[in-house]
Amino acid sequence: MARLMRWSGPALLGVLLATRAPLEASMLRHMLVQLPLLVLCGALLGPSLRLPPGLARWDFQGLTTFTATAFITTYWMIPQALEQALFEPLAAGAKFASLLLLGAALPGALRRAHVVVQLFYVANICAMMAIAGMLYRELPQRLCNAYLLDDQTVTGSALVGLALALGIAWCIANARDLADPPEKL
Amino acid sequence: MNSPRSNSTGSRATLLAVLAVALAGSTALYYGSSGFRAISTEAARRIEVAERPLRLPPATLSGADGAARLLADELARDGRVTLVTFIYARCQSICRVVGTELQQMQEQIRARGAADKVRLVTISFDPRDDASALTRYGRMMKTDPDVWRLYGIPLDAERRRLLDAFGVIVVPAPLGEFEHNAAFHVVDRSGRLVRILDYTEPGTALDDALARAAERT
Repeated sequence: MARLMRWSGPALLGVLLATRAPLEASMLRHMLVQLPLLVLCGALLGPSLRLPPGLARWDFQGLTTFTATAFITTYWMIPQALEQALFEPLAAGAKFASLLLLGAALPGALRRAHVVVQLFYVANICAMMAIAGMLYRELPQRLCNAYLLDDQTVTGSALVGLALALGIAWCIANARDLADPPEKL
Repeated sequence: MNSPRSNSTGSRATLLAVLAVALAGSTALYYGSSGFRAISTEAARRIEVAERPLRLPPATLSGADGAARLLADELARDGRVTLVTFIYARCQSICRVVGTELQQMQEQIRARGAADKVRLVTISFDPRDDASALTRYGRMMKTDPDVWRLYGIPLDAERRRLLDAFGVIVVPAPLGEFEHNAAFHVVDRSGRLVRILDYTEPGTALDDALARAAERT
């Protein structure tokens, strides 16, 4: 089982590199399949990266990681930035690196963060995602020249859906803490 | 672990790290949105061209008459400012709108007696548009060759390079159609792309071209 976990990260990264073209051919697959899988891949790769434990000192309550999460998710929801990752190798590299690192840092940050800190960032990021999704849905003009308008509309709905799903998932995962707040603060 | 007091050095380090991340993140957002002015690629392309006029790559045009000429020669031919548009002849949607607007612009240019200052050049990005398809399109649009000319670019590599330079992205859509960003491209008499205006603003595009033509005479 442990061995399986160790190989799942590199395997997923291999799959994501090999399926770049088909995933990036549609805005929906690019934004809602490839990007989240990159974060997951980073989380799977995390343990084998062996980040020095001293780094946690710079990430009290996970604040640094969560702030970075807010910026990175916002950045890749800018249509122009997403499209640059299609045509410019530097932007594509930045996309892979930022989301993989984010995935590697998130599990530790979630362990360190108090539920209230988590709530603040989860609410912010989900709200941002839902608003971006509504914008994608409603705008009559195309935001990316490389993607069709219908694709953009569907992506918008999916972003709203993902924002809701993330919010609900977080609530379920933290149901116990929310119902009965921990003593220590 | 969750107590701030037991971790005051950690919280100072974290404060620095958060500030650094916020600074780097804001810089990235600034860059990714062309200075908080554009979120769409099309808006960014228009800002970029307005700030830095673009020299166009060489390309060989093939006209409705079947004759080949160089794009640079055609643009510099008689010192007129050119409004360049991109279409494909069998388009049923956006190019129809642009076509109607171009027809009205042609009328306006003639009515204002500005045919010696501004002209229209429409380039097809569809390799299937040969001389006869362009001729048919021209007849349908009632183009006046003194004001408005239609061209194709026969060489694939040249066509792709020119579309790249203009920032026109053509995506195949269902039913054999194409989806593409449509706009009026103002090209000055030295063959530089100087301004891009939305296809819903033909009046502004014509005024801009006329103003540029007046500037230099």
